[in-house]
Amino acid sequence: MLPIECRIPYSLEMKTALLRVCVPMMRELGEAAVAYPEGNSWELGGPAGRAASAIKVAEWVEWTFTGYAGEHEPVIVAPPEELLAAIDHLEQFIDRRFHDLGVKQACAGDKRGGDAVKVIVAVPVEHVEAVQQLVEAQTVCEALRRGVDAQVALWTVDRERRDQLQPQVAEALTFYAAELHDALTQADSLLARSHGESCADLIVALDRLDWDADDPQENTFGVPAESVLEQLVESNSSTAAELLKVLRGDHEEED
Amino acid sequence: MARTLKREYRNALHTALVMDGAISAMALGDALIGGDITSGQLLRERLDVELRLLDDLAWTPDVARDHFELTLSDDQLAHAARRLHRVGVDLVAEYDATDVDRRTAEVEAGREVGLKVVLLTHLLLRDIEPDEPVEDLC
Repeated sequence: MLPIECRIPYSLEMKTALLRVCVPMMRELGEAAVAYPEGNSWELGGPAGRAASAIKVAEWVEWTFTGYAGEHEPVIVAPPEELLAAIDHLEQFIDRRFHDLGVKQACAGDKRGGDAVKVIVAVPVEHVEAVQQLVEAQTVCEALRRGVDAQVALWTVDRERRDQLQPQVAEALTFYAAELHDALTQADSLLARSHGESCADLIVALDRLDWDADDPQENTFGVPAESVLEQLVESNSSTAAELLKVLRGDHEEED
Repeated sequence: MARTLKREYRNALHTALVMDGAISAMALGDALIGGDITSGQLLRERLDVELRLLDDLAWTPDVARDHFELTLSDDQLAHAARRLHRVGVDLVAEYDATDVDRRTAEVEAGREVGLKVVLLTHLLLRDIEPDEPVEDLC
C-alpha cells in the first residue's frame, strides 16, 4: 500500500458523467432501505457500499452539476486505494444498470490470454439516451483508473533506487531526531516544532522505503514526499534529484 | 466525543511530554545509528504519537487557551498515556528519593507535575481501557 494521494484533473464533462451515476447510486440505498426495512447486511450491504463510494466521488468532484464550486483547478485528490475502490463500485453499478435496462453485452476476448472485454451488442430503443450516459460514465471510470495507475507507477521506486535512498533518509532522520532532542531539552518550542515536522516526514519516508536497509519486506516502495526529496537534494543525493524531476514533470519538458 | 484538557492539566502533560519526547528522539537516533530495526520501529511509533500529541497540546509552553482538544485515536492516546504515566511516576519517585533538605523548587515542581500527570493518565487509561490494570499508581 502506498500512503500517498493521487491528483487526477477532471473536466466538466467528466464531472457531469460521474454525477449522473453517483446520484442514482445514492438513491439505490434509499430504495433498498424502503424495500427491506429490517434489512440485513446481505440486502443493504451492497447498496450501502456503493452509496458510500458515490458520496465520496461526488465530494471529490465538488457535487454541483454545473460549473466548478471553487476557483481552483478541478482535481480529484484522493488516496489511490480509495479512488480505485470507488471506481469499482461505479462500474459495478453501471453493469447492473445495463442489465436492468435490457442492454445485451458480449465478451470480446483476446484469445492470446488478454482480458476479455465486454461490448454492447443491443440496446432497447427507449433506453438509448440512458445507456449513452452510462457509457460516458464507464469511459470516465476507465480514464480515472488509467490516471491512478500512471500516478502510482510514478510514485514507485525500484529496488536499486530504494537501496540508494534508504540510508540517506535514515541518516537524515538520525540528524533531525538529535536536533529535535536538543530543541526539546533547551525548551526551544519553535525549533522543536520545525524539527518535529522534519522527523515526521522522514519517518513516513522510511515507512515507504522500509526500515530494514538490507532486507526489506516488500518489493515495491513509495517515493518519499517532495519535502524529503528536497532535503536529500541539499545533501547532494543525485537519486533524489532525479526523482524530484520526474515527480515535477520536468522530464517531459526536456523531451 | 473528543476529550478536552483544562490548561492546568495540559501544562503538566506538556512538561512530561517534552521530557519524554526528547528521550524518544535521542533513542530513535541511537537505534538508527546502531542498525536496530526492531527498536527503531517501536520508537518510531512512540515519537510519532508524541509529536501528534504535542500538536494537540500546542508546542509552546505558554498558550493563551484554556481548553485543549485531544484528537488522537484511543489506541494512540492509550499508547502515549502509558508512557507518560511512567514519566509522572518517575518524577514523584525522584522527589521521594531526594533528602528533605535537598528538595529544590525544581524538584518540588517536578512532584506537582508528576502527580497531575499520574492522575490524568490514570483517568485517561481508565476511560479508554476500563478493563486494563494501570501499573504503578501512586
